[in-house]
Amino acid sequence: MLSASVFNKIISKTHNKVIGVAKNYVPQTSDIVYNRIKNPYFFFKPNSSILDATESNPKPIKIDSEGDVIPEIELGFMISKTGKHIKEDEWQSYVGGYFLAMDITDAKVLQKEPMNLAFCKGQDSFTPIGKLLLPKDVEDPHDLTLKLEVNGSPRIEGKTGEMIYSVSKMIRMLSIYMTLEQGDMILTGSPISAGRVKPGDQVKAQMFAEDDLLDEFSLNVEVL
Amino acid sequence: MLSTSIFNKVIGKTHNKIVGVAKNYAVKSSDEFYQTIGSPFYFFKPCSGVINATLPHAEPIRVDSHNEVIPEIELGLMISKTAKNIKERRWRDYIGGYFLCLDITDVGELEKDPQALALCKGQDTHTPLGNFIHAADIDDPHNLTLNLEVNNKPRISGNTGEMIYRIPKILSMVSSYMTLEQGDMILTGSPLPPGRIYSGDHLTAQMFSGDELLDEFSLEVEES
Repeated sequence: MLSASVFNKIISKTHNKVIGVAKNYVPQTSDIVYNRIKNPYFFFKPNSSILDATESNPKPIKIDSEGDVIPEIELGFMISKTGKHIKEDEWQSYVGGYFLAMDITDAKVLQKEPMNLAFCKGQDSFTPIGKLLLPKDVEDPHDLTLKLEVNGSPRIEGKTGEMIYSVSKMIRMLSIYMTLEQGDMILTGSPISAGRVKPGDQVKAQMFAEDDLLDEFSLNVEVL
Repeated sequence: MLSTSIFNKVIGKTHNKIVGVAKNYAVKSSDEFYQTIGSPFYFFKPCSGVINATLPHAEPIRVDSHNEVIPEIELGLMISKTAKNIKERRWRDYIGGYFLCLDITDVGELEKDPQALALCKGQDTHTPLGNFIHAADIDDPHNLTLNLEVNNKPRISGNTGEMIYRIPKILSMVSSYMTLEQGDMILTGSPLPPGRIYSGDHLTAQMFSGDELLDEFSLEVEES
């Protein structure tokens, strides 16, 4: 029967995951949301929330009409081979590529239910992902500039060197507890302050290595 | 290149999710941890954490030697067709089947940071799943008994009728925020109190409908 075979496929095949890290930039800030968090910590984003930002007419970020969202811009990386207990100095052999991404958080749900990260961050369209950049094309992932503009005005500008947990550290910390599988994606956190965006806004995300624009995408924010 | 095709598969295909709900059974116990949570809230468990508990030599639940874990016993369900905004009264149309499962939580990580649910609940072997039971074979999922024994002594005995958010409500709530895809699983929470388990323990989980044993599995708890 259909359902039993679907169940078996779940049990026996790889279903990749997307892992995010909260507060991986700057220990202290005046933003109340960020100050509530002490140390960086990890969370999952469902693959159903991925928005392919590489499409020529990408879909919009869709949000509740009465709400606003936090538009974080992040460096992401993809795991190239399955591994567990990965040593920090082996990190490069597990990274298949990098990408520019966003992690959208529903500010209204976050305020009402701060523990409910599944609803805050797991909504459809809340994980826009840009194109894959191969490691040979990204000399140093810890020396990239992330820029976010909202409606043509600069909102965030930060350097990936400011990360508290580096890429190698994140791979080590996560892989002690869980197998990282080929195709898994890890978002490495966002420089602050992201502020808020609402329906009608347009966001533009860019990632630079020095003056070299590695990737860029623009998305509209619309009502559900 | 290999990496780009892996990346495209992740973006372009379904990668099922497992959604859990915390504190979905009334607090009858003095367990401090449970007292600190307000309303039920949702989280994700990665598919990499799944153990197939139906195998004759199932993998053990692995815990760090100086760690204890919380063994919650739960009714799980699998989504039969992809949907968003599921109406409560149509709930049966979206369930392909049910299963007995455990949601294991690492206490050491939980105490370090109660928000860090990815490391607390996302570890390898921390999501044991039982046999798939077709929806047609379960008359009333809100009248099932869940029993957990640890080292042959009763630990938990509860009825799924005690759920705070029942299945139609869970489907409606989750699908209002995110698309539920065919094959996605939802774990509906655990009766209390689960207490703790340690390396060297032996668990037996059972699910009954009246006197009829629907499923049962036993697992060892061993050091990582």
